[in-house]
Amino acid sequence: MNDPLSPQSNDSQKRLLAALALSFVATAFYTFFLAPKPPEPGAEGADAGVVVAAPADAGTVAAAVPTPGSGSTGTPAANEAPALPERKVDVARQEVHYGFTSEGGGLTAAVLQGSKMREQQSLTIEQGFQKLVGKEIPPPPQMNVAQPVPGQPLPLSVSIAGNSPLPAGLRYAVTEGAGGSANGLTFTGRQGPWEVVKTLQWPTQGFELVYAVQVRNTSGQPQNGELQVHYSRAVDPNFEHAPSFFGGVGNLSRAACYVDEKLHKMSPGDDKPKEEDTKGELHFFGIDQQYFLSALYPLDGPRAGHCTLNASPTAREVTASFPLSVAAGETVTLRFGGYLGPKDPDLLAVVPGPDLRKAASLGDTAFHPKLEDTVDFGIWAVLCKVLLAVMKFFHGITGNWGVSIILLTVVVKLVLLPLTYRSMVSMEEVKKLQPRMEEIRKKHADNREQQNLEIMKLYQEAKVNPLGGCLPLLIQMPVWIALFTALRNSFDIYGEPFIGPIWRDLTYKDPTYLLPLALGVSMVITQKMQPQMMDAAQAKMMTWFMPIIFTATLLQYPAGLSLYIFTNNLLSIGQQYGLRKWLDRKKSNTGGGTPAVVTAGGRRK
Amino acid sequence: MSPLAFVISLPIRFYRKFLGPLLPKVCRFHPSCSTYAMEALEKHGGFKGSWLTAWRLMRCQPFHPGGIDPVP
Repeated sequence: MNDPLSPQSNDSQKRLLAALALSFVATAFYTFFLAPKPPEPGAEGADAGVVVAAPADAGTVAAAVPTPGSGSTGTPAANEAPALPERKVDVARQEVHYGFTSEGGGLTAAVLQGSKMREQQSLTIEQGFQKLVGKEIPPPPQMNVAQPVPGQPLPLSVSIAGNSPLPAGLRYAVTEGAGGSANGLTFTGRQGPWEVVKTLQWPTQGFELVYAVQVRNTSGQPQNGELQVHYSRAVDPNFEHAPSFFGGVGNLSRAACYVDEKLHKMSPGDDKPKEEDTKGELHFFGIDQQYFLSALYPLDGPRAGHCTLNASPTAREVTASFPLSVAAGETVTLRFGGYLGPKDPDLLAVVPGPDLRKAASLGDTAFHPKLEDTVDFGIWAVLCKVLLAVMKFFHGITGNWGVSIILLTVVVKLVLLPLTYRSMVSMEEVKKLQPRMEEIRKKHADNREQQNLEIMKLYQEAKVNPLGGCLPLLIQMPVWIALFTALRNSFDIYGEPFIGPIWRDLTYKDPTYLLPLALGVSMVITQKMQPQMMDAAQAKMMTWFMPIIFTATLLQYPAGLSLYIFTNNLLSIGQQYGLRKWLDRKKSNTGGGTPAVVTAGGRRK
Repeated sequence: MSPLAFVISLPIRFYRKFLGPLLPKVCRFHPSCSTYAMEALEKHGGFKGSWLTAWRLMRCQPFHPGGIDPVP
């Protein structure tokens, strides 16, 4: 089908290869220079130790009092009523099951319900193939966004620092219902001059809640200090994937705090943000997992305070502190909104949602914390959103995100079709110049530079150019990087099955590595199919080097990216073949004339 | 070369040293886009050099005739 001596037939293949190489460089560049660094191996023990040994500000208070679950709950402070046993309360709303305890009046669990609301499954190759042949592998556990950290204040617990401290682990009386609503809990606790009443309320649906903290000064003197709200979350390192060169951006939880106009984040191995940077108007704070978020925000607008972030391999912690000043006999109330759920952009964009605004009697113009900023597409945000919008459109039609990715590939190919077509037409033209090119090659055989210059002059004279150009291959690169970023950040695609028993989550690597291998094989085949113009050594390099590098890189990358590039390879082969056939037919129809005025539409395999 | 131009030129140097030789020639111009980029950065500094390079890349596609196009 192809003349083995013609330079044109393998041109588009060359461009594909070059594009792969370039995207490889870009990825390598990203991982080396831009991506967050993974934690040092072996730092685990040291880090964890630091956290436990140095509970900083909250700890000075908490140390005096038994922490929840430490086993010494039978020795309350001397001035307290007779000891009651710890009371645990489990409450369920439609999409979340909560667990609370009287010790600290905080969350012991917030388990999201539904098949998608799970930790990311990480299968070994063996398990992957077992699953492929039909063996049942148990799914990963449901996502618990409030797993407490042993020895640390519970999520949602509060403490007061100052002359009259209040510990985070204080015992609270728990009553069900809050503010006339059945969907809620009220915690009441007393110590020293303080009486603290915390109420939690939530609409039946959704992931939002209202958290009101009332602090009353029962003493005769004014009291000053700092009110601290804690959110610590234990993290199972088995479900975290640190970013790495062959592992992509990973799947990490970060302690997060949005201060003034900036989101500060901390994952293990990161430097602690500077104290002055995390001081200011707090917009929200919480734990930001790759696809799930647990965050609190001042319900009535940003509030002056400061954040303390902490991250160890097994825990992420954030404490928000607000200045507190209560006159004798007075009460101060701080109201927070909470979002403990998936990072679904549609849900995050409307926080506080209509149901919550009703429950908290807020107006339509209530403060909106920019929780959607936790979905971090980085510098590729615009392109990521465009790609996601296109894929979402196809998902609406097909109901399958894998098929959406395939259709996205087709769309990109179609957009680039005029370029491919033009260059193929141009290559036909160049055939006529073959004898003169040979002449030049012979004449300047020892000078590559001069050879190129002369050939370029020849092209210019004849007003043709068989080379595809640098832009067409560069255009695909941003698409790949953006798709990669989108996959690793989009809850929409997270945990969505494509086909078969193994391709159940396109945002994570293919456990069987079949897709990246198929991608490599497709590259080798297309390369082998093409006649080679280069010397044998270079041809061999071209045939094997790029496919191997590409397969190796994509082994650990989201399966969706492999799917995109694999589909792209297949389409390239089909397109090359189809366009060539069409041009040949065109030529015979017009008696060898040049196909100068043909529209480049509709012909694609 | 200005410091900014030098920083911008680093990935281009990497490409030219390690990847260019492995890849087939696709550029429609002489000098090729990467040579052009290096010369432009050298001659015009980081800002104008980058702009010239970007403009060159935009033209390096089948709808532009290509040909001989030295750095201005």
